[in-house]
Amino acid sequence: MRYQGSGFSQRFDANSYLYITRAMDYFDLAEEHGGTLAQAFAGHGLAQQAAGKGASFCLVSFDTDWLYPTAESRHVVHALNAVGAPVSFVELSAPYGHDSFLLEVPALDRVVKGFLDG
Amino acid sequence: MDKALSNTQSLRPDLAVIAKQVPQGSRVLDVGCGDGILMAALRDGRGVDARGIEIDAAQVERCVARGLSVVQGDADHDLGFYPDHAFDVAILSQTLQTAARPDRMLKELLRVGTRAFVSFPNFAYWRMRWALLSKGRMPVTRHLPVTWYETENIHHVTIKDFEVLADDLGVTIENRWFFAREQEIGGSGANWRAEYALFEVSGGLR
Repeated sequence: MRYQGSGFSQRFDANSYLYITRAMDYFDLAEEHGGTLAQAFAGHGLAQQAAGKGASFCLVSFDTDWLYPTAESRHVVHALNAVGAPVSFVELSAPYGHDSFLLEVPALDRVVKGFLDG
Repeated sequence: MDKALSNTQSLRPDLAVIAKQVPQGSRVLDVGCGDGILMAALRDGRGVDARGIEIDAAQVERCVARGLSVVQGDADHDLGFYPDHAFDVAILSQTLQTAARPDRMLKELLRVGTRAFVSFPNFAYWRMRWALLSKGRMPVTRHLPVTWYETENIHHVTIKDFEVLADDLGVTIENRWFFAREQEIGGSGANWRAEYALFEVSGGLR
């Protein structure tokens, strides 16, 4: 983290980070859909799936990730369930925190491969 | 032999019965779906739109690797996130006895599903009764091989208990099947003779 930080401070204006993090913090998908996250996904519900037009979803979280914790992923999963969208979710165990998805985690490979093949 | 039949032959007897009973092309939720063997058989054999909930991450991984839509979660809590009657059929195989509140679980199954298949080990099976009577200890059997302190089975239910619960909740029992030594057996004296049971139930909640 310290290494990345010193690298980024050479290449970016610190103010750009303030703007980006603020934009991220203020972004609220649910608020744009009447305060209910499920509404945002309503177009991917059972009816659409039955008509062969809906997308499938697969969410994966890592137990050591503090940036995108499992509870937040579950929130998205529950909203997708509420509209009947086909969704898979699994929390994987890996020691690398948020960067786990960039590193060698065999379980992630199996999940992603299975999801894409299915 | 077609694919559907060859698939059901490798299933545990209660799952094989469910696989034959679920209507073609229906929407199915398998609660406690394990490695997804039943969901895969239903999808491949009967064109079913199957979804699952499973608490064990390694099992969910196997399901997703089979191309199934399965969510890792605790059914006691997560069933509440599914809308009313989102499914034609809800399945709860060998899981009722692990629920925090089996009565609420049964109600939830029939809220999200129009009908439900529920299978569970019969704790009044004669070998269990005999073990408790003769040894004075909680039975460990071939079908339930885990000691009392390790077991996930926290609500010991019998066939009679389930029938009374269904009646108390106003749930209609549509069908029932009984099994011993991995074979289907007849219904007479089932509460003594059956190792586990499968019930098909439907709505009428009050």
